[in-house]
Amino acid sequence: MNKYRNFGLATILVISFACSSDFLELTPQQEVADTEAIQNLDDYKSAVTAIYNKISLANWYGRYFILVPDVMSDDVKQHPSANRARDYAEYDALDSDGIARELWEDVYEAVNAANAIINSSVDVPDAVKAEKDHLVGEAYALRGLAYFDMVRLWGQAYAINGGSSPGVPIVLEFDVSNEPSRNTVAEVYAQVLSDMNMALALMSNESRSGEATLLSAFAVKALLARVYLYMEDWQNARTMSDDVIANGGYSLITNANYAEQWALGTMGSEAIFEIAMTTNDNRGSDALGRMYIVEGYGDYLPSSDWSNLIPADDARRSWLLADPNLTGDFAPDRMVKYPSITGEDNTPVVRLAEMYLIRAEANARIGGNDAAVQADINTIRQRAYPAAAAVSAAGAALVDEVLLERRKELAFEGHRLWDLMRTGGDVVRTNCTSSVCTVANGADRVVLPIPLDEINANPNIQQNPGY
Amino acid sequence: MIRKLLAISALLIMAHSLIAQDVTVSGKVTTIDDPSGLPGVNVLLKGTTNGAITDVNGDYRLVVPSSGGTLIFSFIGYQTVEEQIGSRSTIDIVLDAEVSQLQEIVVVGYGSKSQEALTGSVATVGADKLEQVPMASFEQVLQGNVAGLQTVSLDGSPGGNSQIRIRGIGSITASSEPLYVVDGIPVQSGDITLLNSNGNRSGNVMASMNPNDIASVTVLKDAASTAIYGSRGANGVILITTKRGKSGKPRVDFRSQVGFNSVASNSLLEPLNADQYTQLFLEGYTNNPNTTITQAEAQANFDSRFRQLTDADGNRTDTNWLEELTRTGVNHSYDLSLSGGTEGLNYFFSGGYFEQESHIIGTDFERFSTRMNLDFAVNDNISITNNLNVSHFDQNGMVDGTAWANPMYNALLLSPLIPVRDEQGRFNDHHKTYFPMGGNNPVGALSGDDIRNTRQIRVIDNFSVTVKFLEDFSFRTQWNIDFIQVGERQYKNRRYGDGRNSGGFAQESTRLNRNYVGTQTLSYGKTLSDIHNITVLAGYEAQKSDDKWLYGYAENFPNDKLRNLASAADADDADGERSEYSFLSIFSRVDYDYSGKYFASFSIRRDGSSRFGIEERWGTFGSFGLGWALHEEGFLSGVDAINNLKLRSSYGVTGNAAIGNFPSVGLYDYGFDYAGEPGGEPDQISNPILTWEKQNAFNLGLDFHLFQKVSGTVEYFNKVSSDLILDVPVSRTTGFEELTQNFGEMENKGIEIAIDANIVESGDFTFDAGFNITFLSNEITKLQEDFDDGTKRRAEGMDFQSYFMREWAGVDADTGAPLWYTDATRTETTSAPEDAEEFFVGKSATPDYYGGFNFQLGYKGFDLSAQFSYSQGNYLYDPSGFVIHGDGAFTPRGTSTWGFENRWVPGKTDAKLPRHYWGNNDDGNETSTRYLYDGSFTRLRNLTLSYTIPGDLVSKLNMRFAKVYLRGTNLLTFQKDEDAILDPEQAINGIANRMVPAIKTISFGVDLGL
Repeated sequence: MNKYRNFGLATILVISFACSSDFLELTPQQEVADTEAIQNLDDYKSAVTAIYNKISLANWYGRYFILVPDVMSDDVKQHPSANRARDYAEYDALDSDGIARELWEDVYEAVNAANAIINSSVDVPDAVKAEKDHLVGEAYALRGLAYFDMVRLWGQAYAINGGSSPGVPIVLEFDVSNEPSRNTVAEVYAQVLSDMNMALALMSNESRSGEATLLSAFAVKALLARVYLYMEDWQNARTMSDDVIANGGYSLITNANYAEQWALGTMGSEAIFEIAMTTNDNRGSDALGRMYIVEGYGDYLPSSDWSNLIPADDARRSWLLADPNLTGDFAPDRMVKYPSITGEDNTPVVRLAEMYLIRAEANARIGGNDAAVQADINTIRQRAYPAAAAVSAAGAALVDEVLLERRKELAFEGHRLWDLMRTGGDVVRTNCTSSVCTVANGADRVVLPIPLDEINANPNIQQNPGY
Repeated sequence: MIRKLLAISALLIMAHSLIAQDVTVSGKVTTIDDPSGLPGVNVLLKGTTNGAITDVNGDYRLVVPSSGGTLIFSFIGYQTVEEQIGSRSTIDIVLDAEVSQLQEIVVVGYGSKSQEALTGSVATVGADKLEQVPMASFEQVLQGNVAGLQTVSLDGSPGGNSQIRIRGIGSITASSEPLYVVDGIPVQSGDITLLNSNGNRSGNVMASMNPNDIASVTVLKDAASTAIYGSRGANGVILITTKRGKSGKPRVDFRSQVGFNSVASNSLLEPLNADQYTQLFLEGYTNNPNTTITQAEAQANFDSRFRQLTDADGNRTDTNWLEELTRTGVNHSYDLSLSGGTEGLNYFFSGGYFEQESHIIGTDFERFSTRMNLDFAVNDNISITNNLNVSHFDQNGMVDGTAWANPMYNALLLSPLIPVRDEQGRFNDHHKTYFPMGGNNPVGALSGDDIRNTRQIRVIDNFSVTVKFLEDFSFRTQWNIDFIQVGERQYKNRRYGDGRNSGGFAQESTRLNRNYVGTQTLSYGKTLSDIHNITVLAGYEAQKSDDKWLYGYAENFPNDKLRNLASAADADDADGERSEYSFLSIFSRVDYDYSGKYFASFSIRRDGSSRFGIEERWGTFGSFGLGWALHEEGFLSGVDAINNLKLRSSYGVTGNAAIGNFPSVGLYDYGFDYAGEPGGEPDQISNPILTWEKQNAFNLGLDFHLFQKVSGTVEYFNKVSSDLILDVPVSRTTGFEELTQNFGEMENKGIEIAIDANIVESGDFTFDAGFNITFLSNEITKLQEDFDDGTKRRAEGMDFQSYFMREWAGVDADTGAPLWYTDATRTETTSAPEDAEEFFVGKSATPDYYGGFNFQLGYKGFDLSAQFSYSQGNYLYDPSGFVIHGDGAFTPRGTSTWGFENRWVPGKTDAKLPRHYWGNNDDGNETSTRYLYDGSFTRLRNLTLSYTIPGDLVSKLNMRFAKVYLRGTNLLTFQKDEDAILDPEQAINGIANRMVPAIKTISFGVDLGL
């Protein structure tokens, strides 16, 4: 009897030691399962914040997205020590190039992060519904910006053949087995418009922090103004830029403060959207400004083609700093628009000055309102150089005046190459320190190579010609 | 120690001088199984015919001279015991059953088996090889002692980590380390340090174990023996069994050892002296083919740079940095244990102290450990066991690789024209202004200016209750904990080295790793009709492990006396993580033998783990093994020469679950912050079918024992690892670069031979020898696409460790330029590296064969034993050659005397190194076979001469035994490649990392038993 009792006891023991099935259901403690990552307003916030972080990385607005098109243009020449973006200044990058690869990866990571937010369907309390909508709107806007940036880097200008050339694959939801082919430039622009207009419908006029380092509805309108400009949709470009100037609450920095404003690391009242490069956010030795300044790598220099355009008393001369150690073609100046040695200059994405120039260009293209065009050009030209003569050109010649002012005002902010391409211009470097001194409009190599890793992993993707 | 021996000798002499008289000795003879007494035992006074037989109660009585002598107790089936009478009048004896080789009990997973019943591949290393090894941890002892097993020390510093590969590398990206099991518990092994890890080279949690506490280490190699461990069996299993008490009187064992440590390899790079360096420095300028610098200009450069041409004492500066860093380190080891058994309670208590200083200053290890193993029989049916091990160690080490602060690296690079101390007598830092490398002073850093310390506390306890019932059944419930706390600390001083720009900095981390296992087993054993022996084991096991760590960093210290985080002005960084995993398992094993002739075993385990994908959470593993004792067959019954001949084979499936804790879960990771807000983004793709790696293993073995003299095993194995985890590239438009999948396949096959022979056994003289060899071949059989991993390329059809690089073609005798072959045809050479293709150079880090051999010579109490290990055909790559033998690419760093003597100079036709000039841009130091060496070597691991003091002498002191010995560890090293000027014992992957080279220890010890 005793024996059987032992046996029974043992059986009970074995069974009672059996663990419940959730013993194996452990969860990570530094990470969150993707299925649970977006569940409330705070999750939306952190997910959107990570996209801002992504676009602030050194490959993107932290450095290369601004630097690479500029070194391909006629505003920037390279120092003999240059090695970072050298292959782009020389127009001989390979498909294995690291800049193209990492940019491509970062941009699609941002797209994927935005897709996850946009495609989530979380109900939040009514009290925070507007906040959630604004956040989702930011995700749309950032996705739109990502596609806009990509289509400019990897696709020929919209204006060249109405956007029929290959753009980049449009990916709107996560599928690990997706091996997409390239959409056309026009299709990508359509996606950019769709995303940014959706953002406008969801976002409020103020950014969440009230600062220009986060997107507001007006910031999206400012970006849209530029998108329409690139698409040669002059009416909408005018509408958007006019709305931002009239209603956005931004104001131009005065002539008296303009030179010093750049040293403050932010464009202040003029800033519509800029990338935060605070003590915690900056890219350190990888910062955009440190590619130019002598205390950094000093790899790149302002070309005389650009500096010869700037009169002696123009406030924009303050972006130049003579360096007696530069000789010959490399002389005479360094470029100090982003002067912080620690890299704490916010990267301007879009600012009010550009809105005046977009409105001016749109009006000039549409025609029939020369006075308005002249006024907008004067606003920007005389802000920097009050003694400058008022614009006297009229009619079609005004377009060239606007483009000249664009080149002067927005230099080293990553605009020049694409302004040339969308307006039929060639890159012509007379102060040339590269082996490539002229590049025809729409040449194969004004766009980046599709990275080799993508070509290897995705049989449906097509390489850009010339690579 | 020597004083103690003298005292003992004096006592022995006194004992002999006593005068003889007759006395009566009586006592009782029992056995472990039967304490009531064994009748019929023959008791004989040695050397006489004076004897007696025990009565029905096991009692005897015998008259002997009072001068004493030795009693011999013998009984058929039991081991004969010789016992010194000494001054005793009562001598009780417990006889142990005689065990033949075949009946020896071998520990296996969740139990034990007799040697003859094994169908799997199992090897055991006994306590005799482990006791008092002058090493912090036991793993090194396995090298050369177990066929099929490759062990290397990753860091020669005391307490450093080891790598063990059982029958080759079974995984491409997951761990290939075996599972460690201590007294039945799967425990944490390897390196879990955070700050002082050196890429998992320098920390080893198993250094908590006192090797003197280990009764045996059993290595499970094939599926028949490892499948009971299921998803953790694929890399093999190391079973560690600790010592237990045996019934009988209390036994005290005391072991003491002192040793002296120096460097084992006699082939290490030496730094330049002042004259050599000066010559090289000047030549580096004047020989530059790209510039024209005169001798005078070079001299001016020299004069402006080196400003400390006299040292602090005013003597000419000529520092040998290596010599300054080197010392004779000292070992101390003391171990005391008490064991025995009484009234149903068997006990083993031990306390150990081990201290080792390496031959490099400032690197050492100190451990305190205790163990208490108790077995208590509550009654005939219920018994309780508790094993408790508590240990603490304290380890000081150094940084590895090509870090400036690595003393084994910068001893060669620092100029001998830099003095060790400055004019104030402090460790010199002036050279930070005239010599690159941050003013690092390795002598100062290791003399206490910097700190690099690891402390570990570990507690392992297992408690079990066993209940026997219904005659043939027994139920065992076992509960285990393994708690490890590791505290690490680094300080870099304010004046020189890495801390110079931040006012000194300190880093501290603390980690707590907890591991809980509960195991319930039910076993049944029965013999039917005297010929069918069947045992069945069924079990259930749950394991949970959690881990957390905290880290802090602070800089800007007020002085170098205060080194804690609190004293710094800027507390800059804090970090911490938590992680956990769990396993649930059910398992069973059935063993059957027919009349001790035919054997079969079957095991199965079903494992579930939190690590496995949600759709593949449970896996089933198993094996089948067969054995055939040929010598029991009629056709061999008349052959006296064959004592044992057994054929066995097994096949089974095991898994490798060392794949990380959450590899299958789609994850968002955090820390992607912007403008003061925290951010999180997609970080890992969900793959719900991602799961363990699989291994199908076949084993065929033949065990033999011939002429009562020669025994051995020959085995063939073939292991196919599949579902290997690989990062398969995906379109980047997904937002990811790769998807982790179960994809790859790899095969390891080979032959192991192990032979032991009692060559001479005549009277007082014995001579034994042993030899083992393993031939291993590895091949990747399935891969998504070839990929490069450092100096190796992983490609289908190739050995996993195949080197892929440019082939060095020597030095252009006319110009001194470096040459490479342009391609694999090796027909043309070029001095432009971009014209030289990389290709498979036909060399691998995997040895063609490896193993060990040993001899043992015994004469009376003297015993001389030697053990060697060897490896043949494995190649080593030395990445630090890039700088040390960089031909001047790194101005103005020094080089080795070998590099100096073999560099090209005009007219030298047999130069091994190209021309030397500062700022060398010939790219001769690009990765190539130039820095690839044949790593074949043989090492004398152990040479011990011992003398066991005769029994009649020690018994007069009421001692059980006394032994003195002199031991040499790593005494001799023979290397094949004369240009491989490095310690040949490097990581399994062949990458030499400039760690502390292996230690040579000469030690003297005394073992006493009371």
